Amino acid sequence: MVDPSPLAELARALPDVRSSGDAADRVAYARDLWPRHHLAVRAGNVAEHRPAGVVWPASTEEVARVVRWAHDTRTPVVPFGAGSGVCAGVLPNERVIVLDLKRMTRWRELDERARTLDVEAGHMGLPLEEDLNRRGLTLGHFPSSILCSTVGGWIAARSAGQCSGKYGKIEDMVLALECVTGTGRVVTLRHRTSGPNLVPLVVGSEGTLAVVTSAKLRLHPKPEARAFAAFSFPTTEHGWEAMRAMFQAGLRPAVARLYDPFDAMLARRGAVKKDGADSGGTPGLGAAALRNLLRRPGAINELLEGSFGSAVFGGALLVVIFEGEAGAAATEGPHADLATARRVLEPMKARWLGEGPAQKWLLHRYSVSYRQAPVFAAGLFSDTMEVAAPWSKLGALYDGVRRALGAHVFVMAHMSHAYPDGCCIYFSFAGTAGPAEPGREGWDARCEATYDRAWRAALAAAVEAGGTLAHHHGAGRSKAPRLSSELGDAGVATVKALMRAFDPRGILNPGNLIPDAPTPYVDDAHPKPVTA
Amino acid sequence: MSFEIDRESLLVRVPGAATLASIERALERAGLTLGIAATDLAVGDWLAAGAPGAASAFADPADHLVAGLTATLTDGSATVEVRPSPRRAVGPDLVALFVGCHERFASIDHVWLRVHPRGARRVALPTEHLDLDPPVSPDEAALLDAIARELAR
Repeated sequence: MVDPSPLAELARALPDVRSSGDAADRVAYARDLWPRHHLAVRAGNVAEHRPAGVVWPASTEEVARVVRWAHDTRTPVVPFGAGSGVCAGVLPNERVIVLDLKRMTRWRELDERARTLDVEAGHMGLPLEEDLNRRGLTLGHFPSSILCSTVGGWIAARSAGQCSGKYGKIEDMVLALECVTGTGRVVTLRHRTSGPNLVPLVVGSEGTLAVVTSAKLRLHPKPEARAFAAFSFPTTEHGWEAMRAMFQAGLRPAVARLYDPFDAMLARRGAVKKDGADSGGTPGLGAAALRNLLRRPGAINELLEGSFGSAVFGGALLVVIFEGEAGAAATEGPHADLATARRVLEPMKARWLGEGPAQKWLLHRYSVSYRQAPVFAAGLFSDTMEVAAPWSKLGALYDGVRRALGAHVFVMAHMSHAYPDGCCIYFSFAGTAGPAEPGREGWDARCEATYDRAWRAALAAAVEAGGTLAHHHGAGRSKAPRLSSELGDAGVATVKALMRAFDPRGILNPGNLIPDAPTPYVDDAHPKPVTA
Repeated sequence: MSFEIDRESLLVRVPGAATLASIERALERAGLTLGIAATDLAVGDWLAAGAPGAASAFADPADHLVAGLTATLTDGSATVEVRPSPRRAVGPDLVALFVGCHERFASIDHVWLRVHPRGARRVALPTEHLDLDPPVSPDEAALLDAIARELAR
């Protein structure tokens, strides 16, 4: 009997391309790091969305052959980097072939004069930066996922790094893309300043327009010098006004991170224990107490906000790092920039805290991303939401989203990507099970209900305040049902037209960005039928 | 023609038909500037041509020229609004679809542009070795044709 699975068909058609239908591989590729998946896993649903199989091409030519086969057989394909996305941009089903690009890691061309690198999409983040550093160069892209994300993943989701103030987001670094469209055609798209520019269409398209196989990226000299500083402010708003003043004065600190009072307290404590190990608490009495406390998030949030929270936790904290060439004159370089920044900030109620907090932050810059497991092990959940708006709407965005989330979960915030015209707010939140409701009686199901309510309220509040739904995590399937609230029906129709132009049969990551079916995760988001 | 200046965000919302010179005159009264040579070209036409004379985004990666826009598709069937935001990650960048497209896909009705305080310091990272205006390749031209076809469907 002929095996009807797409993977078996693929293996027969392309026997020389490495692939697997092994159960363990299918489970491993069944999800990304969307926290709602963690709830499902905790409830025992380990791999609800397992694919038909996984294929590991080693070259653009192999990617093109796989996609051509998928096009001819109308088999859906999900491009896959390292799976560190947090918005369900990867959510296979039993018909899907996952196309893992991590065997494609070559440097195709390093141009040290122009400072550009053409690198394959499967290259992992940290080794790339380390190899560049050894050559006196940097990409300047430091997402907190750098240990577990790829170049292609960054491009797919419009990733932002911790040094975006100087180097920008990934979309500001891409000069050209080689990609495979939905027909299997290999195309090279090049950035063009004064003409049609297709690069920004594929950047952020989350695997729905084309499979990115390599990217030509802009590089910078590895910084020779850094200047560190930290300031406290009476309130978070004082802090973001100071960030606005810095960026509008033409200053470009590589790092500018403002923490609200509670988040500032955590930042001051540091993200790791003294022995260097990540904190990894296990469920116990502390977890039980926390679960009880988080049943009344509204009261906690109200208590910690405003002057009480500032007084208890010592106000908002701004960490600033300038970096670059040392500077030949006293008026140049990171230390001169910091001196200018101090002149801008100190009349704005900034209190100088010295270099220590900024140096400590740099030392532990990636630790916080790996603290989620103990929260889930304690029976709780946590997630993050990154929104952005012009400065004139930032207060409304901050208050609106904070209030919307705060009714359901404990919430804190920091701002780590500022621009002359606006800023990103990064909300972190934690919650627990709400009251039982029909169909959602178990603990994990009740956690899901709280999680869904929090997200529904927060996304609606972000749009209402004039913000964007996502600044750098992407939309994925988790936010896709809300896309029309930001882009309008005409904007969504335009995205669909782009999808048809690049991928006429709709085989690339179907259901991502544009939902192909009502989703249980945002159950009020489909007032009308969704059509392709 | 009325211009909406968001001083706090250093943005101005202008109709596509407004000339660069008229915008610059209004900004001057507010102590602001576009930071480019102000001509009698309509801003919509200027953006459709790819904003010649504007600083490259690679010169100051934290800064973008266009924060948002409203554009009507060429066949008049729909108007797309991209609300102003310093950055977003909600799919393909629709601003990039319309800026530099020579009105092949849409014409710009209104746009949110970045403005600068007069005399403010400007960041200018070196870009001289970067090829920022390569010719359109046949593959890119084919994709542009396909986009035009699908938008007209």
